[in-house]
Amino acid sequence: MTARAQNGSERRIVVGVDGSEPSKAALSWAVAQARLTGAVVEAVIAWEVPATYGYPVPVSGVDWGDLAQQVLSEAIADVADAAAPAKISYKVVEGNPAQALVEESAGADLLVVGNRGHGGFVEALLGSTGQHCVHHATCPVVVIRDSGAGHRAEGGSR
Amino acid sequence: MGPQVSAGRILVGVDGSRASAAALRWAAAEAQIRGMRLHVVHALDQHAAAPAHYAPPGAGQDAAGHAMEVSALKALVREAVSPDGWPAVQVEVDAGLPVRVLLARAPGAAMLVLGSTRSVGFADAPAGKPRAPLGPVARDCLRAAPCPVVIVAEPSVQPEAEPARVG
Repeated sequence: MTARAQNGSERRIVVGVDGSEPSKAALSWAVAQARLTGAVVEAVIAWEVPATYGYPVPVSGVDWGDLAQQVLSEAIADVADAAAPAKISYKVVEGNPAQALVEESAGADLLVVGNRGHGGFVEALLGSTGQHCVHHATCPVVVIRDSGAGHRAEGGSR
Repeated sequence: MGPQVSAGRILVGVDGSRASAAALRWAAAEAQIRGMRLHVVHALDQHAAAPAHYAPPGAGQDAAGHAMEVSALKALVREAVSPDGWPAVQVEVDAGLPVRVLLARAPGAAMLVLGSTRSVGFADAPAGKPRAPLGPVARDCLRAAPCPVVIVAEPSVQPEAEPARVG
């Protein structure tokens, strides 16, 4: 588990997507970065069946994996049409998002996450997923915040 | 809301740790890729630099110490940047709390790059297990920086060459 950025193999930028605005900002940042470095963007969405603490699942019949995939492809579509086509692969993972991102990002150039996702309170300093990633990922982690919409890297078009 | 640098700027905080040296290398490479200015900042924290909490304020903060910090910092920068010699580098040392020093320079930066020190075996920790929290500087920057924040991990000490330090 000590995978370090390997420049020999294909360069990857892993980005966590959950459909939230910061995660979409993270995805577009990742796409822009990938265009600069020639890396491939790997958008990852992870889903878990919501915890029900012993009660029967009230929303049976929902295909969470399907839903996750839909959220992901919508996010990608949002970002992709604003930008020149970049190489984006996507991956739907069942499991804890933070853990999935850390695992997927092993050996990647970068892991990009939004500063908070769904499920955190707005005041949270950094979503729990982002926090876990910052602590555990073996590659550099980029945390993108959505607030101040449009505060992108100025001069990025240079 | 001052005038913005047209080419953009990558801000990196350096405190002399191995992690911050890694952050500096990453930031230098990124500045080169993006054609941006590299803004290296080191904060001289009076409180951290003081010999002891009971020492008179300002102890160890003489001009000579300051100059040494600058030259050490410049050496570090040369090391990180040298191979191709990215010219657009600005090195700055300022007195103050690191968080304040960094955040004061964050507006208008394309990103803020920081190192993070990790304990041994950090990456192998199971998910959900509480770990030592991120340093206060990185934590506060993640909360308050208006720009993307990049956390670069301290390079691991080749585990294949040196399996364990114990014994």
